[in-house]
Amino acid sequence: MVSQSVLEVDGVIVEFNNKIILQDVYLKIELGEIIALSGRNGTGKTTLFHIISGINHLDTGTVRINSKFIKPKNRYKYVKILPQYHFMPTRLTVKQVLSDYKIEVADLVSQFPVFKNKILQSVSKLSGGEKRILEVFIVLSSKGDFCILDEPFNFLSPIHIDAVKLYIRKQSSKKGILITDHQIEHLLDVSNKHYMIINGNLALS
Amino acid sequence: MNKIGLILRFYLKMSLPNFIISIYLTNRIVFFGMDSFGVFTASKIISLCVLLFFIDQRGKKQYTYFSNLGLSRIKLLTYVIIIDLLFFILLLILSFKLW
Repeated sequence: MVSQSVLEVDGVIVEFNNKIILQDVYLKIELGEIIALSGRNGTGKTTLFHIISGINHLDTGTVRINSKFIKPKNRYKYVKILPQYHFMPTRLTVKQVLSDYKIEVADLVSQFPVFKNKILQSVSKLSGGEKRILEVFIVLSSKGDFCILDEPFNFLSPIHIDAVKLYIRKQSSKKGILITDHQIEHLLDVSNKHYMIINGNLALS
Repeated sequence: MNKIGLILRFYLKMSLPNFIISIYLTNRIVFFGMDSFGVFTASKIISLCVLLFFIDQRGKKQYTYFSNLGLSRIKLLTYVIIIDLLFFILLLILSFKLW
């Protein structure tokens, strides 16, 4: 992958039950950017995230990476997504999760020392906050130039939010990051560009 | 290799009930003869679909874990169906040979 990756979402229109959710949306994410996306519940933030990551398919519009259309089934090579809920299989150990995502244990422990004695522990035994930290970590540390973070500060205590924000900033030097969260002060603090979804349109704030 | 491991791990979640059903139905086919093959194979397919439905509903949230690694929900479920039916056929062949 080239060092100047650009992800573009162009002409996205999403209609649901005769209601337009997203209307001709254009969004560009470059490496080094942390783009915040905010909007009320049900305005289409998660829908847009699913479209970019290839989970949902598009009827109208395209997702391009470095000006090339990438099929949804191949988008995982470039884009990793953190959903707003816990998504790790609970029977796996922390070590297995890291191994699946090809991440070194030492990287996790050096960044988040809270995991020092929890590497062999199963995910089900971790607290909600620890699960969230691990999820954010694997999404931000795995291969791929772009990360989509849907409510990364969910389940986190204030001290952990600061640690996660620090890691997001660190990883943004080599990735393009799109992020949304209802904790707007943290969202604005961590991002360097902010868009709002209003009536299906993206507006630069 | 990594993807095969992920698929097998996903399959293992539902392997025990599938294994028991496969053994039981294979035993019935061998016992009643090849005339019953259609009925018991249909039972196998229906039971597999029911199990997949529950696994699909229960594990919905975990699909993102696999899709980040290149295995979509459709891919995972398709592989699981193939593995389980292959296992059933293999069991059937072995049973007839050993009978």
